[in-house]
Amino acid sequence: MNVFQENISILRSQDPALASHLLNTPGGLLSIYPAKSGLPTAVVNNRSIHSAYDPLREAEQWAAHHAKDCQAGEVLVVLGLGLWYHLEALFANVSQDSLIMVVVPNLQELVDGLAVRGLKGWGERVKWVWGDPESMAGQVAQQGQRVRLLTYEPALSLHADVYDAFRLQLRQQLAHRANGTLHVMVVGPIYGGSLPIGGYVVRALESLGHRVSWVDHSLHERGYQQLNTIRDDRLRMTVQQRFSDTLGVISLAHVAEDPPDVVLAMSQAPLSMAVLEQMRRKKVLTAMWFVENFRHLTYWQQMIGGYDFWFVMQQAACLDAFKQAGASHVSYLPLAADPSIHQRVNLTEHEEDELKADVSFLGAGYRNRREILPALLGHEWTFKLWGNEWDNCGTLAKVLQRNGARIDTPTSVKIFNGTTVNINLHSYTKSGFDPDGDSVNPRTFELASCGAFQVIDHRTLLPDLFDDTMMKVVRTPEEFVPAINTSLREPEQRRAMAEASKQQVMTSHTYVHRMETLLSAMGLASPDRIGAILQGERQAESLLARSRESPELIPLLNTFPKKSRVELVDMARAIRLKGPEAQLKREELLILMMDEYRQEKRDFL
Amino acid sequence: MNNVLIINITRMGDLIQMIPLLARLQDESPGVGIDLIVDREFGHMAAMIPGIRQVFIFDFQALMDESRVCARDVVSLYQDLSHWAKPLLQVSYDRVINLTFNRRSAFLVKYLGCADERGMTTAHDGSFLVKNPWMKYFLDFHVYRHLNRFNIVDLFALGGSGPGRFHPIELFVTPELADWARTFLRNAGAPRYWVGVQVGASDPMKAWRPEYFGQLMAHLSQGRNVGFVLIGTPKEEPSVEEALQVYRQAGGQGVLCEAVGKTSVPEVVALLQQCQLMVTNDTGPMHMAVGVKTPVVNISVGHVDFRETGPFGPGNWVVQPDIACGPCGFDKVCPHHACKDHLLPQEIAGLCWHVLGEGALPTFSSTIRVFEGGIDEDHLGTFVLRSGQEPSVTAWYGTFWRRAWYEMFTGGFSHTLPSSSLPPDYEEVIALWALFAPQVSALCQQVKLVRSLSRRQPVPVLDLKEAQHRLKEHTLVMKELVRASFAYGPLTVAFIRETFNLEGQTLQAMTEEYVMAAKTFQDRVTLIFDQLTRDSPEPKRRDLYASAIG
Repeated sequence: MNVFQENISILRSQDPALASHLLNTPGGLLSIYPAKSGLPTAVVNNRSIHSAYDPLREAEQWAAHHAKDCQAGEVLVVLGLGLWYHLEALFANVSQDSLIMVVVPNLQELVDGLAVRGLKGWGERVKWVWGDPESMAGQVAQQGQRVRLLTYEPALSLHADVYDAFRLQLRQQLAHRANGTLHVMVVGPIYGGSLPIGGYVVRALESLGHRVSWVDHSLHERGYQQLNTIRDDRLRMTVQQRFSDTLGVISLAHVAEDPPDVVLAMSQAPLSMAVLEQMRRKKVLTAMWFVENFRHLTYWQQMIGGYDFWFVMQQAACLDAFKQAGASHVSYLPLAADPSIHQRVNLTEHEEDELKADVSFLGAGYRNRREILPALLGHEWTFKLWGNEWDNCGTLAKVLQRNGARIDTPTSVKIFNGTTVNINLHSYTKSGFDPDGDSVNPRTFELASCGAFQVIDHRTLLPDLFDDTMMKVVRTPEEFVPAINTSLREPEQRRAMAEASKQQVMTSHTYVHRMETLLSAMGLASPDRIGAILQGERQAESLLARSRESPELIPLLNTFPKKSRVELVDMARAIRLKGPEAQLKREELLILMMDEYRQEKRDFL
Repeated sequence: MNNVLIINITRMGDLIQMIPLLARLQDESPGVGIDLIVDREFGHMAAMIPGIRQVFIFDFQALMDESRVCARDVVSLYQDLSHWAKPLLQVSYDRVINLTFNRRSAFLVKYLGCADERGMTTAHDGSFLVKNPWMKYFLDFHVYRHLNRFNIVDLFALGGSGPGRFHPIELFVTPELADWARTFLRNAGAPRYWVGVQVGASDPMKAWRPEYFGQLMAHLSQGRNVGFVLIGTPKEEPSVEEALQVYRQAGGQGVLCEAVGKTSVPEVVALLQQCQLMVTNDTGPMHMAVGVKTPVVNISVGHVDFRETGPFGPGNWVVQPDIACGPCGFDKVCPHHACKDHLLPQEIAGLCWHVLGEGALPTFSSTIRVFEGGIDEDHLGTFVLRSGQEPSVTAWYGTFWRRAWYEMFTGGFSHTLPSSSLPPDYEEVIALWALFAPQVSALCQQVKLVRSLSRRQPVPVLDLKEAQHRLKEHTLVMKELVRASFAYGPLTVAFIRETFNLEGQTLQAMTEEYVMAAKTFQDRVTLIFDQLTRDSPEPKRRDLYASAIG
């Protein structure tokens, strides 16, 4: 019997369907040749999958590095197959009881490996995960245990898109199963576009059942703007920086007073690197949702090491840039809408007089908009322009509403609802459409959520979010006028598209969806903290199961409802409630001692 | 007594200052095994302390960080800590001495369960207690801080053991470390004298101005073959740089050995051992220098009271500004730090030369007080004023209470000289006695009433609550009455401490303790009054007022 047959025999006993498929799958994905040490190694398109010198030693180093973070009770999911030297080494480095699942994105790769490398002695304990990404994710999620992803990069890059799809599916499925609650501290900016998004994030997290502390620095906007009265540029910038630093220390004080499971900062939240470093020293997990264009606003480069998790609204080049700059975890997370705010509304007669129009645009006066929008004047439709920073806008001045005042969210919603054709033109500091235009602005989601029809400039990431049955997409500025004309003449199609886009938002693009994704991503990346909490491992019944070694804790844990999250503070509170007539037991003294340490704050600032 | 455990978690200085306690324990019970619990941060320091059988190290900072942000679940935190504590439970300690005065260490003491607990611990229900009169004194002396004459070193030794022979602070430096230090210094130069300089401090309030250190060094180096060893942590580098800048500008000529941020704790000790003098703020390295017998000139500014934490024993000196606001309170936020300007660098340089044996004790301006360390007749560390003046009232009462507390807590006699005169505020003492003595008597009566009510079956709850409320009010009134009095205030504070220190598990037991505390208070108050008025030329008046106490 050759190696392949022996391996198939082993696999048949574990997964007959897999064995049967493998028998009918040709190999040839991997080019196999002997390494210097004599063992087989593999190459694909001139890229080495294992060391050309000593694949065993390389694998041992990989396994030793990853095994130290692995904990009992976790499912270890390995991404990256190759000739699985790293898998064998991992088995040798972790406990015998560990469940190791290996994702097989392509059966050809497995066939190539089975032909040259044996499974005997360890492969019997592997759980092979194969199929489409959704079913693979399901196989992992249904284990019901904490999941730790371990990646072997050289092999992972062979099927990066499949692994990405798997990760996305896994995140979603774990999110749906999550029943644990977190304490999230959301830190907002002093002012700006991400401020309302911070508010939506808070509401979404709360609606998911999490406890949210909102550090609202917009309260200080007036003071900050007052600094503009300092005329000297250098002085003004110095003072603004100091002001911002102080707000960062205020955020740190909030963290010290009521430590969260994670601090989620919105773009331009005033958290300096010094503050973030201090949070890191105090083991506070931090995340940033960077809702800016990474090419236009580049401060992220200086902040990259400050956050444990980055979430960005662009893909590809953006993700690459963040990874290259040193981001430990970065994920794509597009914007969204809040249906409780961005919704269909009826306008009063008075409101209709002011806000209703055939065609509207709401936004700031960037250069490309100043150049493109005049083409919308002088037609048979009414056109209204809303928003600020439209000084000296030439011919547009006659349609500029409210003298170019900033428009608040409730009014925006009414404008969207009162407009027949909403123009959604992404900002660009030069002429025309941004040639690199990828991310989709919040207005896209908000219009859709309101059930409002929109004509939008093309963005590369738009098709993944909304298809062309949901909004009218134009690829050049010249297409706006014909698109508007057509849309105005086709009310049924307009209504159908608007309704379809609204349904799409409700199904997939609310801030609740985004927060589920965000938390799930953090959970996968931090399985022993965020992941454990989300999976309910801090609930009383789970803690009880882990108290076998410390049975003295069981009576106290039994006083809590099974599904309630129980932390040190809760145990200590329960002990103190016993009152002055209690005779404290040894374990209770130790809990109270730890709780005294927990309450210490002086070292935070 | 076979096994003693000392808990000393929070400060490096405290670790060094407990060294004489170890020797005192050996005097008390030769061959006793002494174990020590320290934080991981101070593990290196603990290894240099002779006389420790076993050091139990735990990363309390990690516990703090992880528990605060729920980085780990409560079960795993508990399992780690209980696993670490298991060997401690297996030793049957005869005494546990808690030199870490905080609530968390108190729980640890109770967890260990020992009949003889000293320092902070808890009662059966988790409420906090302090055991041993010296340890209680340690917690409360800050109320009348200026009257304290006990160094923390002696408080640890007296509280952890008892009175006995004087033992200096001693640190052990290995031959390898000593060689390393010699080589390190040789690479910088070979002056006749090496002077260790600690410019920084953990708290800016107690750090003398860096430019003054620079000027001091420049003065010291004028015409003399002296080198300076600059020590400190990386955080202190800016202060050191500032000092060196001034030193160079002032024409400093001495060799410099810059060790700031470049050494471990044992290496700092080894370097200080090679020095002939150390000039320092009130810092951990100051005690290290004392431990390796390097004479210290301690700059005592800000909220530092050298009598508590000054360099222990003979051969060490303290300079303190003569300023009305100093030493200030720990909670003070001072906008001017004027005390630091009272100490003139050239005068301190003169003192340094005297300590190095190169000149008589110089004269000093009136803005400065100079004290020389020594040992008093009770074998305790002391400081003798060599230049300047102290306020007469605090000086008098400082001496008075030094003897009074010693005799009250040891049950023996103090061999130090009593004050030969009446208290400077004698008239106020007498006048206040007329008001205070009846208050004390009434307090005792009120306490007895509470006891009698608590003994009734069933307990008359409303009457008892009313009586307790009146007792509490009475205590507060009495406390306010004598707050400003150096004669009666300290005893009242000690009494109030006792009322918060009741261990009884039942109401009756607690009220019995309360009655005992009140009786002790009354006896002590009478004793103190006698001592204060002993030399009064008006015996009739004294007897009249004495009778007021009943």
